[in-house]
Amino acid sequence: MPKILLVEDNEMNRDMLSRRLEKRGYALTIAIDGGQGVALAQSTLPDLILMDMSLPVLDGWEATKQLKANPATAGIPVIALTAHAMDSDRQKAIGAGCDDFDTKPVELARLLGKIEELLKKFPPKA
Amino acid sequence: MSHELRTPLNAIIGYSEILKEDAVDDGDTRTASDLDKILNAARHLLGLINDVLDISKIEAGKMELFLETFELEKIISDVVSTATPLVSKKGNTLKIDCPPDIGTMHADATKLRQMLLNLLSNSSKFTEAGTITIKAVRVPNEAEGIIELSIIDTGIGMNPEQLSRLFQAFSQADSSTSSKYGGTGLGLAISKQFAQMMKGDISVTSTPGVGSTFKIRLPANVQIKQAPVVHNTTHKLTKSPFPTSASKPRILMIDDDSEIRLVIGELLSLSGYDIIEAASGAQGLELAAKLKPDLIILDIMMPGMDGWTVLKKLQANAKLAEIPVVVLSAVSDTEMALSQGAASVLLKPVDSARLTAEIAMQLNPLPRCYVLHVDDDPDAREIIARMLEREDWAYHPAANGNAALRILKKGRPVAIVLDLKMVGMNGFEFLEILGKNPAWATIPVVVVSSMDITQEMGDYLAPRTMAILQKGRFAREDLANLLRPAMQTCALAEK
Repeated sequence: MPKILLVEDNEMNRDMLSRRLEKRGYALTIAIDGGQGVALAQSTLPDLILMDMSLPVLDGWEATKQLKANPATAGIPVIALTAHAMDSDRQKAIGAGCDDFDTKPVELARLLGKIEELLKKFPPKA
Repeated sequence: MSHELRTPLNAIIGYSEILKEDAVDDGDTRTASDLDKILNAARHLLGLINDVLDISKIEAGKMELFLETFELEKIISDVVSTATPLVSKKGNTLKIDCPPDIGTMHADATKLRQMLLNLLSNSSKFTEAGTITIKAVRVPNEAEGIIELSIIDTGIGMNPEQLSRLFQAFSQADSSTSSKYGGTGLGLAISKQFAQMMKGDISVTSTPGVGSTFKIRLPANVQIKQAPVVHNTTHKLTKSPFPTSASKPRILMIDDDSEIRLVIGELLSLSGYDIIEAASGAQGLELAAKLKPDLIILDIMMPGMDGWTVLKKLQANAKLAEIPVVVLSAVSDTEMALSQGAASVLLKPVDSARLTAEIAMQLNPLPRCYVLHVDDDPDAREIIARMLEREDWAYHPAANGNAALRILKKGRPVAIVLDLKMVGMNGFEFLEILGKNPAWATIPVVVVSSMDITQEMGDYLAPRTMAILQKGRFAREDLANLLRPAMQTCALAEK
């Protein structure tokens, strides 16, 4: 069962997305701010990270930068989630080291496609 | 505003989707179909809110254009794949009529996509078991090319009276229309505004019972009146720090805008530099590796490989990471640029005096006895600069740890004045690297910071630094007394 770490500060978004992903066979770990996201990524080593960008404590860009700078977590694919579909937001996320980008509100089918594609590119280790 | 309106609606849509998925799994078709009605209504409301927000933004003059160069064919195929389910709902066929050599255009791609989707959605509402064609033509005219994008349907059409009210906000052709056909009546008004913002327009011809044709006409190369690239083009230019040298310092300028390359290129030639131009990120990287310029001026918003990616790739290459990069962009993300390793950041339009001063500063040969000052706050740099000038000591500023390391490699400073909290590489990370290099570990460091120093930080800093000064709470003399012995020793050795 692939492990996904969801970093999201909004309770309802967290609840909705985690329930829908669990139903589709993913094991979810939840972090509610960027600092916790980085800590949990290091301790649980998930197969993929869904990272909201506007987060308290440490924002998603900074959290991603830290994850990508650490050899232990650099190989974990990160999908950035932002409320804006602007090209500059996408560029900012990719610049921080995110592997893909999606906009909120989440369109589940599209997000699942991106998750599957990245898990194919970075296969979970056994 | 938009966030407050969308958040509760997103919860309604999201939880309805979850409930519907459960109902479908349980075989409860009645509940599933009720939830479908809630979902449709909520999505309609979300569309309406988005449209109203767009309209109010346009009316307030706050809607901005983001111009980029893109393949027209790709936008069309994107739009077609998004719109196909919608169009086929009423048994319509969607046809594409686009020459394979239609090529690129320069415009706001997101808004063009939205316009095409609005028109397609409009046509598919009023057409049943018919054909909707999306047609693209490049019309050459004397100066610039024109792109025409038409949405042609075989639907119910409109009479002249209906046509006249078509593009007004909140006004569908008939008041009963919206109950029968849905839609907000805002899509067409928004699309027309978008077209006009890009110096184009949307026109429509229609025959009742035969069909309608909506035509978007846009310049192939949309230009918006921009503030000038450079202020005071020839006043107060700082000349190259190597005026007599046979080989001028070489500057690579990476910018997709040919006008900017021209203006800045001339300015820098006048100031005594050798200019190489790159029109794209990829070309810039190639030239940087081949020609090893002394400095790089980098734009951020470029089609294809953007400036962030170029910066990242430069920093990842040990040989190229040494070259100072001055980011010159209309995007004002100074923190991001510095944290990615830029030596400094200037905003467009740039003042010619500032640009040439910055370049000369980056290229200046280091004096033998100098103080390196590392701080990301320009005001703080100014204060220390004045203090050191009073003592007649040479100094060199750096905006963060990365920039400081680049300068260290060029010449060892007599002492370092260091801030702790900085974007990019902070003071602690910098000290860590300093300590690992035997040639640098002995350089005296004075910390000047506004940070509250905890016991733990103090224990870390004590063996690595000479003193810790609190920003704003020390006199010039305090700093000068700390630095004076080392500066005097250096000055004596030089004589």
